[in-house]
Amino acid sequence: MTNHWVDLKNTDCALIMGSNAAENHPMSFKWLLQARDTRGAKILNVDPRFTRTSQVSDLYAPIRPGTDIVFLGGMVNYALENNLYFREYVAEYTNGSFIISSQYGFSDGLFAGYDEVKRAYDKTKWAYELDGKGVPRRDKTLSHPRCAFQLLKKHYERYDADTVSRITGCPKDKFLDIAAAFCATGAKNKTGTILYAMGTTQHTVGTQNVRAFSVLQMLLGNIGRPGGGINALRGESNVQGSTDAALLYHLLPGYLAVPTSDTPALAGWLDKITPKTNDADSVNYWKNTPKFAVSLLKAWYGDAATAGNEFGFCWLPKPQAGKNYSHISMFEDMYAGKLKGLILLGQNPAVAGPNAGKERKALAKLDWMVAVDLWETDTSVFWKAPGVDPKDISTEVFLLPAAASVEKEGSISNSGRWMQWRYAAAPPPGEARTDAAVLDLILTKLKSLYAGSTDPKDQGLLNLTWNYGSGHEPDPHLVAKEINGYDLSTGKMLANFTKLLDNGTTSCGNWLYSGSYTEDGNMAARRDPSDPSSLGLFPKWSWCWPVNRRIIYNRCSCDPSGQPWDPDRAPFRYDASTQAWVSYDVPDFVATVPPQKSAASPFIMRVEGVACMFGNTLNEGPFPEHYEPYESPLTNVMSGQQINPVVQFWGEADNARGTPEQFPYIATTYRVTEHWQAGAMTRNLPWLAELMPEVFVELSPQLAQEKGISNGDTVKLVSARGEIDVKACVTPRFQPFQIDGKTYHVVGMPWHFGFNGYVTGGPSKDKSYAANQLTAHIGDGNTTIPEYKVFLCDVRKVT
Amino acid sequence: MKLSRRTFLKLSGMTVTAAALTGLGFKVKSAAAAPLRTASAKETTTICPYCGVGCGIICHAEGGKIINCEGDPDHPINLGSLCSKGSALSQVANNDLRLRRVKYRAPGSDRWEEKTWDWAVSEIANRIKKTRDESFVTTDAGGALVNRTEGLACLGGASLDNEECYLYSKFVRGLGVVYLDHQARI
Amino acid sequence: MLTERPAPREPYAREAFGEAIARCRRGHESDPGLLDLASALFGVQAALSGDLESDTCGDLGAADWLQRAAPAVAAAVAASSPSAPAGLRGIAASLRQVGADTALAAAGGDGEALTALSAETGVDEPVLYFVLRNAMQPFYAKTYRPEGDVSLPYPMRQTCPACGGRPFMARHALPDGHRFLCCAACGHEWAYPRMACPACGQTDHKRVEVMYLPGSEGHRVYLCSACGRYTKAADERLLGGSAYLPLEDLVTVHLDELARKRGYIPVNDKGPAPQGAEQERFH
Repeated sequence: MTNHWVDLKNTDCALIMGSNAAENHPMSFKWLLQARDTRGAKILNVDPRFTRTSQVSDLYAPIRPGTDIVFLGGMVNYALENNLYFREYVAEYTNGSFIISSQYGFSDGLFAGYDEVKRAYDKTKWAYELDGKGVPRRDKTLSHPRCAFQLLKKHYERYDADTVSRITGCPKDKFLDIAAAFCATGAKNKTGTILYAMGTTQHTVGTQNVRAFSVLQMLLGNIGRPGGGINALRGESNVQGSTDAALLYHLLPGYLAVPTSDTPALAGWLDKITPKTNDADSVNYWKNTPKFAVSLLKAWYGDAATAGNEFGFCWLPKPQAGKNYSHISMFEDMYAGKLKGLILLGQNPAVAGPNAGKERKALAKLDWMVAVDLWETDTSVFWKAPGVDPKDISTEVFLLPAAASVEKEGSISNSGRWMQWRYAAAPPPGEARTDAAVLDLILTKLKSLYAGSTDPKDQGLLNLTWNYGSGHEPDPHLVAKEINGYDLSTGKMLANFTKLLDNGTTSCGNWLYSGSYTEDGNMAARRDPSDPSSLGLFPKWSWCWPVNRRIIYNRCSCDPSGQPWDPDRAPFRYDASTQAWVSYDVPDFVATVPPQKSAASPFIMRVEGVACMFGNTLNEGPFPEHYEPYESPLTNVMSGQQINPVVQFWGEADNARGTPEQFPYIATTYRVTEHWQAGAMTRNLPWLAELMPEVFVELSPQLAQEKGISNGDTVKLVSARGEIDVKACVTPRFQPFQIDGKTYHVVGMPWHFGFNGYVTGGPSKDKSYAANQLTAHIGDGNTTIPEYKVFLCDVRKVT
Repeated sequence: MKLSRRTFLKLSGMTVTAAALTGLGFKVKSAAAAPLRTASAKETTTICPYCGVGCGIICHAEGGKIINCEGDPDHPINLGSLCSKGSALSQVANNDLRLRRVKYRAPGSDRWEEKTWDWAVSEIANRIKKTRDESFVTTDAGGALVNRTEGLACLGGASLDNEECYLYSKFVRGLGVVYLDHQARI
Repeated sequence: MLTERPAPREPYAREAFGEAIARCRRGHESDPGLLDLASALFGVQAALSGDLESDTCGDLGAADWLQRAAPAVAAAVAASSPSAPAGLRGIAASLRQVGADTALAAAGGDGEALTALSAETGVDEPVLYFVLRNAMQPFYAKTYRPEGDVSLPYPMRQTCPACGGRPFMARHALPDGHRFLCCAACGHEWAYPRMACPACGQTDHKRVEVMYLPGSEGHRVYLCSACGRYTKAADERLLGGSAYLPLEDLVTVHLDELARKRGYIPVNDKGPAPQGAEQERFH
């Protein structure tokens, strides 16, 4: 989140889209309802299905799955046509004023620079036009025909209300009501917040869906302000922390782009990933990348990392440039027999993975698997899943018992970036151990197995620092301190990342977390619930990154002279008489220079210094454009490009692409309050299992009548990848979409269920109730997040 | 009002209230008369392990066993409320289905065998070493130094603590693994 | 689901008392006679509080109030007790005899004043203190109003934001267990962090132990090894309804005893100054 949970109480209008917040993040509504009660905030909801969130919202608009960009593009168009955008904010704080190269163009769904063979763009065609000093030219009057703002206008002219209604299936008046309500937050003293989750991201255009939110929020001037922002409601208690720690192939901790085969040397890598600008006004905080990177290497390789050996950089594994190693790719390569061993620390892809059936087949190709978990997950027993004969599976499986959250001490980071320390209440049961201890045990053993090796390939492993106390239970405080970082010349913890250096005299496991555990103590453990501003900032409760800044991009809460756009919700105000800022939050700007100067760089992490409504670094193009989902019953009417032109395709084996003729209905998947993710943490709990023991498919009364299905009937849901027997829940929560004179039905089911556990989702032990058996190996054009949220299926009555 | 700073009424052996009640002829429930069985618990704070809101929870544990979990009213986000999942947290701790022993499944087998940690750690480390060594690529086709193992993959873990995620991130790179992903991407 | 914090309860909240006494009577754990005492006490205090509200007392000062209220409270207590000391009947005269300053001091718990009054009345000091403290409470409740927003548990206050007195017990309120401390002198409540010691404010949960009788988890006592004090608490969720702290205090004297046997002293025992406690506002 750019903002955080309690900040929701400050909003004038909340758009909940791609999220069922009332269901899956119930506490969000504590604060949204307060916003409604105290400041008359409106709650808007856009969803294919009428959910628990829709029920408590002020306005609900239905939308065909996979057409978010159309809806949002329509809102952008609405804001522009009705002059509801925040002009001064756009001119000063975004790159709307930047003039774009004359090479830029857009035609029939494609931006300039597209290579059909490579399915990729030459992004230099989208560059800024530079002046003689190499600084992007700007027109703050926003009238130059090639300024980003004008290009934005032109791009979204095509997303008029009738077109929106036509493609999304949303009645025009409902779309206009939502657009009017939310775009009203473009007023200087109003803010609107967007809450989103997997309904937005799990698409082949997922990244651009989020980009569409950003563009809208930049236009309305809602970023960096109380009650505003782009707020991802993250689904796991520490997925924020695990993302920050970069348990992802393409990053190193702190969002450093991983070095690849293209950058096998430190200098070359740093040069490549460190943004440079000729604009003296742009803070360009990522220019400090070398300090973050070298300090990370010092944390990992300690004394063995020296200036003489590139600080151990050669020991870091380099993925092959251009190769995708993400989840889908991993399972594709596993399916092809290329992967021999898999370690899982609390993950259950047999239920949660896309095309779960193929992924279970892939697991069978492994020589060995190590699963560390609290429960016997579906994945850990894939070798005796329904339809599988264990004799056919030679994979060795080690299942290690793990400690639960209440059985260990450490911190987790919530969606609002708050790093909160928590304590053990009881020891783990039986011989269960913490994940930290498991890693310690294995690594210690590995180091002894490799001890004495002079093989260069083993030096990184042998030189990896690992000093977290005695015994095999790493002291979480020592780990947290390593993450915070040390001044190696004094041995003292660093105050924050501004103290990091690139000469090997500082170490830091994750620059973003620097400041969390300092000589003043464990900031994440703080429990002072005071809130001096009454904005819900709680500056002394736990610690958030970066440097405890609660609302990021907060320079945008004030005008260029430093006066708050809205005096009633002002985390900052510049006092000209003292020439100092009155601050309730940690400034996300240089507070020691005149306000006009910091106003020139309110987005310090962007090389431009301003927010990018023209986003020329993403793979599909600088503006979100609608493409139909990978499996869709409709032809794209926005352009001749049916699907995302940069999406990567995966093996057809066990991954067929369904056609509307075979699979006429649109399907989606979602979550319920009573269960959580792949189900092991809830399906094994009697209280929760009792609340919801079985899976169901929701379908409209109209579709039910067409197929002769009654509520409670068992039906077969079939896709090009698999099928599942599931009880029908006939409900008006789904309504068919009328598009171009035809009816399109949508069905949906929760995906938490599987084939193992206290409850599996259905009565038969010989069946798997995992919805993801139906989804496909196909993912987003930038991140490869699977397109779980929309695919085609058939619904067959089981006679 | 004068709250005296001189000598506050002091009694030994019982509170003033108890003494007053006794003085009024009441029989107060006394531990001395019939020994009262007491229970003693510790309260600790934790953060809910389910969604990304990060609600505060107070756990009560008696004799090393969690007996109750309730919302933490001091926590600014949830102010003591919990959804159905957070409210059920004690059933994560106290649950017969929790794994308590190391288990191993042999090739082709249809069942688990219980093993010791020592055995498992040794077997696992040896397999990691074998897979790593056999699939290690030092330089790519173009001659660039890549130092990676291509036969090993790692998944997890969005429910791990930050400190554990960091250790895992370090461990994985230390081995040379490039196939690394987790819930954040799916 | 609460969108705001609950507010502290006013002293002599009739509905809360009604719920609490009904629960205690159903529970059969306490001597019914004790419950009758609590009932009588509530009745007389609520009536006195009513007198103050209705302004029939004009601008009585504290000493005059005590002169008026003590006999009423003494009579109620005597009528409900198995063997009330005879000297209580003459409390009015005895108070006049020892003089206003001593009377008020005795009501405040001053040892010397109580000794003097005990000599005068022939009534034991603890009984006298009990009567006088309960007599003064409605007056203090009206005279002192809390400053600031006391539904917020910060800034952390170990002393009453209304009168500067110390708390005698905690209430964990329905529905979500928000903690309120209740003042021994004036009966006003204020919010306090759930996980901090009411006596010293320290927040290291490792230094706190909770004790209770199995089967009666609604009443518990928190023992803080940092400052050596204990605080009793009534948890409304576990009790299944409102807690009325003066009543809860009476029916849980066994918890005081258990805590004392463990070497802890009461939360409102001034003793050695607790760490971090605010200075009292009144001298």
